[in-house]
Parts: sequence; structure tokens; C-alpha cells
Amino acid sequence: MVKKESDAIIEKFRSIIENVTEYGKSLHEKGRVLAGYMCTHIPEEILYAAGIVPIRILTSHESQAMTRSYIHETYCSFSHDCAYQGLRRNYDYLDLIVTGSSCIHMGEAFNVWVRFAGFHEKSYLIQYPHIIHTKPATGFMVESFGQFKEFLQKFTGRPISDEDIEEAISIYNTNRRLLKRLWEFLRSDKPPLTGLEAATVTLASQVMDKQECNGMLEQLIKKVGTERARERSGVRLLLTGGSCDDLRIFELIENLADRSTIIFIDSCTAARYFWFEVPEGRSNKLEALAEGYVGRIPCPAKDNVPGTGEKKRFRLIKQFIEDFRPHGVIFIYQRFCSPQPMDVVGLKPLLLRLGIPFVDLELDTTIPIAQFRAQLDALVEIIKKVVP
Amino acid sequence: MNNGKIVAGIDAGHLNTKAVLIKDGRILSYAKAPTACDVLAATQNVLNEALKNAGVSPDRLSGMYITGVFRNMVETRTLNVGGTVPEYIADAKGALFLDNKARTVIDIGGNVHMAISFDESGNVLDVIENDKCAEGLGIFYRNMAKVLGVTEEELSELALRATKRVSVAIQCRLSAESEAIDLMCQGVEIEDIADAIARFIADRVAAMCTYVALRKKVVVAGGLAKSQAVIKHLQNMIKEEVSVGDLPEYVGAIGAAVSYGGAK
Repeated sequence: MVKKESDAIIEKFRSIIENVTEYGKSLHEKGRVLAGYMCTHIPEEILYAAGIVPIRILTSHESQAMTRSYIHETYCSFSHDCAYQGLRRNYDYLDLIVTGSSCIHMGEAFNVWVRFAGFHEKSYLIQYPHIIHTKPATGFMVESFGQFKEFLQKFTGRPISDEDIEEAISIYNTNRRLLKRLWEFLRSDKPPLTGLEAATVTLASQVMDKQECNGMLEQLIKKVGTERARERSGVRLLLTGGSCDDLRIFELIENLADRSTIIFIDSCTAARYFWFEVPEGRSNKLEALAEGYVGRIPCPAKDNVPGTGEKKRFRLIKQFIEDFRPHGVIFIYQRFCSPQPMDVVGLKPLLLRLGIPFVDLELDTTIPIAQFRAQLDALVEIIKKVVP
Repeated sequence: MNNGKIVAGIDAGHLNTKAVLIKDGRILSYAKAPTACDVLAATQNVLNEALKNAGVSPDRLSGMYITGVFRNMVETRTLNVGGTVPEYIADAKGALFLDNKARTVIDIGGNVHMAISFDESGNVLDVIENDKCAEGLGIFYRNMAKVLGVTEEELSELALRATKRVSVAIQCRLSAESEAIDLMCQGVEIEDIADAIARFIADRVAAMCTYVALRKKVVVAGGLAKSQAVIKHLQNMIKEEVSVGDLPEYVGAIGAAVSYGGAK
């Protein structure tokens, strides 16, 4: 049987995300300057405008105790694993490491790289406001992004023009639109791809040169729409929570006793990464970037509306539920993360009101597959009774 | 001074109580028994057995010296205890007695593990003990052998035959225990689960060791020193050759006796 082109493209994306070092080194060998980034609260466009390819630091899923001597035991496994990557020198080919002041855990993982992994002279922490839903937040971000731009100009020894930034914004917006189109296939009751495949592509996009990624995505979307058979999605599941780059979780969810499909993932390793756009054609490029990033699906760590305690993310999740029509919701969050599970406390009453069953999966470096499978099978069983 | 006399060293540990008899710098005999909930009875039992093994009557003992987590409980009861020795001093003295090139001892016991560095006279230079989440490695190892339906010796042998790398949660032994059981439910080979258990232990000990300068030569003491699988992984992780003597479980008891002149 001849392999479909769409399968081959997805396999290539999977190969990139499973061999990030190989991919990064190949870019480096071609003379590209590379910056690792630890959190999505950074304006990648400024890096790209400076001629730098941003590569997200993701985890190895390797159980280890080494980082217990460097960051607190009860920090999430994602931060421990990212710190571990630095200590193991897995990313020594990077020219720079960048993060934004988002959560404390990832901040300490960044510090481990700076203090102990040889990145002292090649690191930058972007200041990011704690609460983004306020008028002064945008101004703060414009100033902070300006400082970052200045740093990069000194770092590379070349100026960054408005045209450079505008071009980067356009490339990144294209990437966001393409990823969005890919996920929108999953709105259908008979999608031509699985949630696992969409999640794989989304993760790969976070470590790739965006122009290369856009080329592959365009091909994929074209082929997925034409050459693939459409199968019923079965039980439709929406995932919401924190960072999760472990494809085994998604494989497990889509390989239960009954047919099930992941139709949307609200996390910083999925939709929160790309479900927004930066305004194009503005005279003030930094202001456009600040506006775009404020408009993202917020990270729970930043999502507080002053004076009301309201969560903007809840409204968006409600909208995604209306648009993607899940039968059930899976809360995935990192063990020891505080903001994510606190959002879960607030989201559960909303789901109860909507009559949507849900389950919690607490993530760690290792996964208790048998335990998770039992919980997920039970969720599907409950859903089938609710939605026959 | 106890020149020419017989000295008993007792290590009243979490899982086992151990006794050694030493005369003129020579180990005459040793014995161990589970501490369980009666450390006094365990101490009496191991002492009697050690005396019997050496063919020595109790009246020939010049003194009995105690170390281990339960040392104070033994001292305050009816046994005639000559003195007590903190575990880290006993470990340092005992390790040096057994190997005069030793300068660091890593003791992996039932509930506590620690690393102690010392000079050529056995004077302690640095001590680090496990954090709370890593407590109970020996108890964990014993429980896991029970869960897998093998002896502790077999657990190590199985681990050495592992062919596939699987892991258990690293944050605490309770999570590790539950994930090892999850691996069983997934049908993972027993050898690979045993290896994950041994690696978990070595990983926690190696993490603790990053807080102390490991002076050469490094020796390992305690019940888990007998697990070759744990030792293999520990060596890889700390990137240091480690040595395990003939009586790793008795290092503390020997050190208690030595501290009070047993080596003379």
C-alpha cells in the first residue's frame, strides 16, 4: 500500500519533535543562530526579526533525581525536566536562552541553566506583567519588549528594523492560522485526522523554523482535506490544563476500549501557543506585539481580572465547548502546579451546569498508564450513558 | 581503655538491630535480628547470638556501645550500656576500620540514608542526610520485593537482567511504589520493574550526594549496599567508583565498638 503524503508529513513532524537535538543541530550547522525559550510568554517575533530561530525547551520524560539539588522538590515535573535538560547539556548547541517572568517553577528552571549549565553570559529574562488584564500591562510590555529588542541588537551586532518585525509577525501569524485550520478539522464529527496527530504537529511547530513549518503545514492541510477518509470521532474529548508534551498521554486517550478523539487541547503546549494573532500593519510594532500577546488564551498564572476575580480563560473555554462540542473534558495539569488545579476548581461547576462529564489527570515525569486508562475508560462509560 | 578486652557494638536501626563483638581490633562475631517494635528485645537477642557465635560468656564483655536511630531507647532501659555514638560518627569509624583508604561512606539504611566524609583518623568532615521525600528506601525495597513475590536478593538479580528501561515516579517512595504496581498492571517484565526500583533508589541517593564533596575512596554501607543493582546504578550516577565490603550492614555497629576502644 502506498503511503499517503499526509501520513509522511505527520511522520516528519513527529520525527522532529522526537529528535529536537538533531533538528536544532542541523539548523546550527546551516549557520542559523538559535535561542531556546522556556515559556510561551515571550515575543518570538522579535527573536525571529533578529535572525534567530526560537526553539522551545521541552521535556525528556526521563525519570531523574538530579535536579532535586537545584530546584525545590515540589516544583512541577515539567520545570524539573527542563532544568535537567540544561544540566545534562542536551541543548549546548543553543546560542541563547530566553524566558518570560511567568511562573516561579519555570523561572527557577531557567536560573538553573543560567547558574549551572553554562548560559550565564547568554541568557535573557523578559519581564512580563503579573496581571495582564489591566491597561498599564500593555505599556509595561511595550517597554519590556523594547529592552529585549535592544539586548538582541547588541547580542547579534545588527539592528532590528520595523520591517524585520513586521515580516516576522506575518510569518508567525501565518503559522498560527495554519495550526488553527488544522485543529478546526476536529470540529467535524468525522475528522480526517486525530487529536494525537494535531498535537504532534503543534508541538513540532514550537521547535521549528517557522517558514519551514509553514511550508509543511500548508502541504499537510491540503493533503489531509483531500486524501484521507473521514471516520466518526466517537467520544469527543476536550483537554484543558497545563503544559503537556508527552505524546503517550494523547495516544492513551485515543486508544481506549471505546473509540475516542481529542478534539481540542487548551494548554500552553497546544492552543494557548497559537490561538491568537498579532495585529499587522501597525506603526508601533512593539505595541502590536503586546496587544497580540495580551489577547491570547491566558495562562492561569496570569489570568486575573482585577477587582472581580473573573477568569477570562473560563469564557474562552465555554466558547471552545460550544464550537467543538466535546462529550467530556479531561483536566490535565502538572503535579505541584498551583494556578492550573485552582482553575480546575472553578471550571468544574461550569461543566456540571453544562452536563459535561470530566476527569482529572495529574501529570508527572512518569505516567501511571493502567491507572489513567481505568479513569478514562470510566469517563467514556459515563459519557456513553449521558450521550447514548 | 579496653585493651585486650571484648567490646560489643550495637546498631539499633529502623529495620534491623545488629551486633558485633570486637577484640584487639579483630571482629569475633556478628549477628542481626529485626528491630520490629521491641528494640530492647532485639538488642538482647543479637547480643546473645553474637556471644554464642564467638563462644564468649557475657561476663567477659568489657562494654556495650550503641548507635543507630533507637540508641537512646536502648540506653534508657535495663541493658548495661557503656555509651552511645551518633550514627554519622559510627559510620565513619566503622568504614575506616574496615578499609583504611575509605574517606567517604554512603549509608543506605531502612529509613534513612546519609553520606559522611572523614579524614584519615575518622574525624567527620561533612555529613548530609536524605530529604523527607526520599526517606525509607530500605523499607521501600523490602516492600517491593514482597509485592513482586521475590526475596530482596532476587530483586537485585532480576534488576541486573533487565533489558528495557522503564521508570517509576521520582518524587517520593510512595509514588514510586504505586507506579511500580502500575507497571505490573501494564504487563511490564519483572526484570525491568526491578531495575526501575533499583534505579529509583540509586537516583535518590545520588541526588543527596550532590550536596557533599565525595572524598575518595567511597564505600557504601547499610542493608541496600548488598544490592548489586543499586550499586551499579549509583556508581553510574555519581560517576565515582564505590566499594562495598564484606559486612556492609555492620559498619555502624563496628563503628560504635571502635569509638570506645574496640580497635585497640
